[in-house]
Amino acid sequence: MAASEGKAHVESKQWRKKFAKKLVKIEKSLAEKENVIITKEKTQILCVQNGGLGNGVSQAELLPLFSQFGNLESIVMLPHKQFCFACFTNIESAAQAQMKLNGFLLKTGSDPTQDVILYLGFVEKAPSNIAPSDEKPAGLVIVEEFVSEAMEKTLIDLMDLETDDKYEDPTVMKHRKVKHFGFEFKYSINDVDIKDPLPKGIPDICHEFLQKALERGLINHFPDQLTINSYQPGQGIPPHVDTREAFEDGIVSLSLGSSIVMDFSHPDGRHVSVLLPRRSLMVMNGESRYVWSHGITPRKSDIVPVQTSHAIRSACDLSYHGGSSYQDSNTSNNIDVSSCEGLTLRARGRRVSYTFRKVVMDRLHMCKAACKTSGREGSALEDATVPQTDSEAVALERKHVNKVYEDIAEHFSGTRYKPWPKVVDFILEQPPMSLLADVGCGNGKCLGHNKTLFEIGSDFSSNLASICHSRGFETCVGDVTCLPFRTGSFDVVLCIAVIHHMATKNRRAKALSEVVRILRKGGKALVYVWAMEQELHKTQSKYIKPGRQQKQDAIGNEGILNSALTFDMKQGPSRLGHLASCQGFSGTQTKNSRLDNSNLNPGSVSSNLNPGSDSSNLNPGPDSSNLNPGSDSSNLNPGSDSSNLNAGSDSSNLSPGPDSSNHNLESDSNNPNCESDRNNPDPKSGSCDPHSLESNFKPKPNLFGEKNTEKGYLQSSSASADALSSTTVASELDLARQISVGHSESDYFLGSKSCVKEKKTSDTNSVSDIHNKPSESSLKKLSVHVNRTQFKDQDLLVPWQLKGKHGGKAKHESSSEGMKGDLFHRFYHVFRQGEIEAICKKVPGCAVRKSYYDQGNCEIVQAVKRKGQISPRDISAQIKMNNEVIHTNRPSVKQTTPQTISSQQGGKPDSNDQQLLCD
Amino acid sequence: MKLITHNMLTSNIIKGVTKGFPLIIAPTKVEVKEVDFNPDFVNKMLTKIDYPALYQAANSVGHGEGLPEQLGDDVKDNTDLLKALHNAMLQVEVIEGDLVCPESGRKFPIANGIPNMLLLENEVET
Repeated sequence: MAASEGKAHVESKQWRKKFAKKLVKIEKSLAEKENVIITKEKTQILCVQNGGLGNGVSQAELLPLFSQFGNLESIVMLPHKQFCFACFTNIESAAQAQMKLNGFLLKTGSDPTQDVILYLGFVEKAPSNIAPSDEKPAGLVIVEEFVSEAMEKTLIDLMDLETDDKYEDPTVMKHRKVKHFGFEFKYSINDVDIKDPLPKGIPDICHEFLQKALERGLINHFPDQLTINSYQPGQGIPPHVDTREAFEDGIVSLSLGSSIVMDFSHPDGRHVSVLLPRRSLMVMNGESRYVWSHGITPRKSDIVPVQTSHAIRSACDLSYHGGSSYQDSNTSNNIDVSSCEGLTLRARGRRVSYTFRKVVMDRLHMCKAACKTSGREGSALEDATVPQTDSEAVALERKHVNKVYEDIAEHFSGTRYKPWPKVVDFILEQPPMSLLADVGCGNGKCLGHNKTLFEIGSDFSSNLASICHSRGFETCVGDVTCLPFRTGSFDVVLCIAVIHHMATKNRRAKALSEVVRILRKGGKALVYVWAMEQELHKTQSKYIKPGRQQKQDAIGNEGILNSALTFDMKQGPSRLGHLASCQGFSGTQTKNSRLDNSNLNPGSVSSNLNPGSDSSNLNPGPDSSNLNPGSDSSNLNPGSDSSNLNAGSDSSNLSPGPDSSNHNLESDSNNPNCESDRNNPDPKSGSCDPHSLESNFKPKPNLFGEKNTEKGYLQSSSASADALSSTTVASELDLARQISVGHSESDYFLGSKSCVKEKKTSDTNSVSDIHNKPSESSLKKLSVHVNRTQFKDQDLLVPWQLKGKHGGKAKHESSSEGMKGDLFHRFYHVFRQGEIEAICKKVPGCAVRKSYYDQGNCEIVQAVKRKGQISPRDISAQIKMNNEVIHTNRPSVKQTTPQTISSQQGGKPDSNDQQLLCD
Repeated sequence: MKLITHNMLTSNIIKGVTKGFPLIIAPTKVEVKEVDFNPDFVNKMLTKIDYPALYQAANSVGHGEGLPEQLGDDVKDNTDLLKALHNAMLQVEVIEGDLVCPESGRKFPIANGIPNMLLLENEVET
């Protein structure tokens, strides 16, 4: 066995040291990102890091390796994950394997950093193998064997041959070649110019099968626009939704040359991977066309259900009858890999896709429809102005906060099952037997993590309170501005993503003072609010999609405002945004938690099971450099999970040089964002390890402590550069980032800023008053934020699209009506840097202990009602946090950028795929 | 609603109400749900709650058995007493009924174990 190589390593002392470090890091990462907890105790199950489908390891490679140690029950592989689980029937075998294979060099890469080294740890349980899902987005139709092989060849040749004319010269994009017929899809505007048709329409050769599709009712319109894409293995297209206003419903795509797996994502967090067989026709109608985003993860092979291969399938049928029979067989040497696995890897070949669309010609009509809809939708919004008095604020909150949450409670809850890691860290660090109140507890996702506490949740929404209560938590219905709790009664108060829903400064202050009031002296509170600045050091938070911003602008310039509403139900946010405020507003966003589904069990592994949510493929090279909007990006699938723990690849992708220098430039102003990352309490962890991803992002320590920090806020706030440039700057970092951060649900948190408040105590943390002036112009209309763009106003409405029964079905009849009822707007006041701290300062007995940005746009305040000064140690901790922050934010850029960009290029622009949902 | 939760609630958020504690419980449905007994926890919680209010609440819902009107110093190692306290604080739950403000008489409904403490706008001190 190849252990010889591993052994050689092991003998090196240095290697061993590094290895131990690596293990610690992996353990942490698995726990944080994957909810996989490595136990010290030996168990029968090993988690095998770097032995996953996500990094190209197949079960076939692992079975013989592990089975030599005894009774191997199964190897559980999850799509896109870079780890797998080897389940033995007894602990001894597992222990043997762990001892012998930990650090095992499975295969060597092109260079040492690409080596696949296995890291093993014991876990209590493994998820069951995922049955390949037959689920498809609603409205998606796939017709296999739609064209003959001869036709397939002809069509591929067409892409390759006709390159003599300007319009047919394939545009070589970063990640694929594109050619247009009928109308050119202009990536700059994400639309076609209906007044500028191409000389050549849909090629004649296509007419026959298109006619057939029409006759069979697969499509309702004969297409007039064709985009041909050519993908080499390893290429892809970022997730996107084809421009809603540009094309009719019923988008048709013919797959030629090679099968491919297309990833669909629903704004509510569902992901579905759909196999598009060679020569099949895919038709996206309704929901699948308007609501789900689709994309192709750039990689050289796909994970496909075994049954797609008949040969393998039969083997599978033979030997696999539930896990039990297999369990008993202990010699895995002769086990057909596929027999116990639902998934396998299949190499991609070159694929050519013919995407046919029907251009919407009657833009005027659409405009009317849009206006009409907006009128109606708008009726809900028309009175929405920035409130001037508290009673106006209350009225606004009732309508745009309380009622909305009441209405969306179930759906909202379904997308919010996992608390933010830092919140959990905070909870876990509280002394046992503390009394905790979670005000604005929502569905209770933050409760129950620390069993030693006694916790009470409170929420304004009785529907959310019911959900919380049904999960076994003590709950009451209460208002954060007048909490029904005794003064000084709680040791700990959480107020997560609540205060930004208060519509006036006065009410925000009131809410905060209530939080502090109910704390006992010395008690601590953790407060998260959304931050206005979604950019740190020119690095945007994960929330922002630069491309989106640009697109937005582009649309604005083009005066497409009108067309918007037609699709608003699907894409609600951005469209409405335009209508609501004609100035380029942009912003809100939401925390889209595309969490995996409605699993309410925080610790559950199910979050890992989302296929499609991660893409393990990182293509550092060309992709990363391509940050131009409008250009294609490749690897950065939003959903891409990159927790690549492979030592090699981590370091290889990091370019310490540029990164760190980049940081230093801004390090001083960083602090503001100083995120007291509790994930990383140990200063040593992460940052100091040259191999750690984080290390490169370490800003210069701020020797001035908190005060400086706050100052930093100011500076950085003024430095919000335009999205594009910032993106560019950060590009390399992002890549690295992506690797380390991965894409757990955290991506969807907006950047948040946090501070820890301490009740009673020094004012050393005071914030400059500059921040004290929230912009509240009189009678200013509330703008509607566009998801994933930067905030342009502090007070705004953030759309929530309820996934609904209406789905996208009603789409073609009247696009404007279908989902109208499903769109809600929640009021948000996003906080400027220092703003929350300034409020804290005015609350008697409240002192900010720490403030930092969390990933996303929340601002966090940790309040402690107690005396006590910040020790030097704390300061350094904060500095650490800063680093963290940076990290956290970097990734976002990366991921977001490419995607968006690519979507523009893809010919199927307008992605924005995900609708973001926020708290 | 467990009585420990009740112990934290007040109606002094109502305009004009100064103490609002303890809220009177007018139960229509009470259940006892078993919770693991942890004497340390009970002891610790005793430092955080208002005992007279717990005593009153437990009796008002018919589960005051074994509870003295006042706690002596001997609680810590008195397992029987700790169990009674445990029962009162953590096991007894008011499922339906009202919480009544001791000063204004304002009722807060408890439905499905969840007290609704929301006020009307005009009830709030501004």
